[in-house]
Amino acid sequence: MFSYLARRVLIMIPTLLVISFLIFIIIQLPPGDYLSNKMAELQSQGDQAALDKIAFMRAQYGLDRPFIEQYLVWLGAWPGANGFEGMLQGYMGHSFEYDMPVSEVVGERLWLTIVVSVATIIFTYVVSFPIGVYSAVRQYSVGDHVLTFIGFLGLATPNFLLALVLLYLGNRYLGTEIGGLMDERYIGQPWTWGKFGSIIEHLLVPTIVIGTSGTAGMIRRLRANLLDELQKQYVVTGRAKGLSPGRLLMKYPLRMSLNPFIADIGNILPHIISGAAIVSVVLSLPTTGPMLLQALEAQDQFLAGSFLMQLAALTVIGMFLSDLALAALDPRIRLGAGGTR
Amino acid sequence: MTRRHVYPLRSLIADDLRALAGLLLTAGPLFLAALAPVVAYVLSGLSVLFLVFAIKALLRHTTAIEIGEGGVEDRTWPGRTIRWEDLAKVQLRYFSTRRDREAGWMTLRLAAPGARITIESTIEGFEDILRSVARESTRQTIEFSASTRANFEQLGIRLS
Repeated sequence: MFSYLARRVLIMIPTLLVISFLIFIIIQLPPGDYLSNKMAELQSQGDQAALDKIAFMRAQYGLDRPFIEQYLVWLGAWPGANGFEGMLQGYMGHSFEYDMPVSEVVGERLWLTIVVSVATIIFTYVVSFPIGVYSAVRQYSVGDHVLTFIGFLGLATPNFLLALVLLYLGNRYLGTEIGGLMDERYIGQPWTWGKFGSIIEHLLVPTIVIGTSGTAGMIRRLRANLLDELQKQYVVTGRAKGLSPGRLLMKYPLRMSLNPFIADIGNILPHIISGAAIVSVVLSLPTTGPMLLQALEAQDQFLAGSFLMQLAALTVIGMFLSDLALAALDPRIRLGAGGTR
Repeated sequence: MTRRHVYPLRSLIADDLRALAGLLLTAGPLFLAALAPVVAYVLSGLSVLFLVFAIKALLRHTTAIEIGEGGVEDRTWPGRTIRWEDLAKVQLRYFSTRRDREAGWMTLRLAAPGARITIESTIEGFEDILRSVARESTRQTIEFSASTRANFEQLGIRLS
C-alpha cells in the first residue's frame, strides 16, 4: 500500500502542473487582457492618469513579460516584480476587476462553497444509498417503480430549472424568498452562531437542487450493480444454505457493489462545484460559482485562473482519495488484466 | 533445494527514478523558494514519503528471497525468516495506478508471529514463489481472504 501511495502521488504532482499550465493557456487565449481592454476604454476618454496607472500595473503583474515567464511567476517558481509571489507562496494573484488580491476577493465565498459542496455530497450519499439498496432488493415492487420514476425525473431535470421551479413555488405558495445562503443581516458580518444557524437553515434548498441529479444517478448505478451481484451463484448458494437475507446481503453483494459508489467520489467533487455555478446564479448564492463566471467574462485572468486551479486541485484530490479507498476496498486483480508488470 | 529470487535491475531502476523524481518534485521547491505554510507542510510530508520510498527502493537492490524446504527467508538487512510451520497469514493484493486497473502489480505478504515478509510481483520467479506458498499454506490450513483467493485463481493457482 505504501508503494502504491508513493506511485499514485507521483502521478498526481505532474498532473497538477500540466493542468496549471493548460489553465494558464486557456485564460490567456482570448485576444488582449483585462488591462488592455481597460486601456482602450480609457484612451477613448483621454484619462492620462488612469493610463499611467494601468501601464504601471502591467509592469507590476508581469503582463509585459514572455508567456512562459508569466506562467512561472503565477506559479511562484520564478521571481516577479516583488520576488517569488505566486500560488506556491499562497498568493493567488491580483483581481483587476476588484483591484485587490484574489484571496481577499474570494474571502468567505470559498468557505461557503465548501459548505454547500460538503452538504451536497452528504445528501447525495445518505439519500442514494438506502434507496439504491431498497430498489435492488425489492426489484419491480411498487416502491421500486416509484423511486425509479423519481430517479429518472431527477436525472432529466436540469439543476437550474429545479432551482427556478422551487423559487417560484416558494414565492407563490409560501410567500418567502428561497435564494441566498443566509439572512441579509449576516452578509459581510463576522462569524457568529446566529450566522452559522442561518446558513444551516438556508442550506436545505441549494443542497437538494444541486444534489438531485447526482443522487438520482448514484441510485441508478448502485441499483444496477447490486442487482448484478444478487444474480450471482454465490448468493444463490448462500440463500440455499439458509443464510438470513440481511446477513447474505451485507456480507458480500453489498460490498462488491460499493466499488462504483466509492469511485464516484473523484467525479462528484468537481461536478458539484461546476454544476453549482449556474444554480448559484439562479439562487443568488454567495459562492465562488457566479464570481468565476463574472471573472471569465471580464477576462480577470488571475481571479479566473485561481478558481479553475482550485477546481482542478479538487478533481485531482478527489480522484486520489477515491483511488486510495478503492485500493483498500478491492485489492483484487481485474479479470483479464496482467497480474505482474 | 533452495531457490533464490532477486529483483531484476530494470524494475529497480524504474523505482529509483520514481523516488528521485518524487524527491525532486516535493523537496526541490522547499529549498528553491519561500512557500506558503500550507504548501510547505504538504510538500514536507510528501518529501518524507518519497524519502522512505527511496530508502526502500535502494534496499531492494540488496534484496534476495530464498524459498526452501524449511520456509521463506528475506536476506535483506537485517534478515527475516518465516518457517512454513509458523506461517500464519498470506495476503496477495493487487494494485494499479490506472483507472482501468490494467498494468498493475501484486504484493505478497507473509506473516508469522514476530516476522513479516513482503514480496512484490516484480521479483524474478514471482509465480514460483506463489506456487510454493500456496502448497505450503494449504498444508498449514491457513484461511485466505476472498480477494487473496481470487488473485491466486487469476494467476492459475488454485488454493484448496
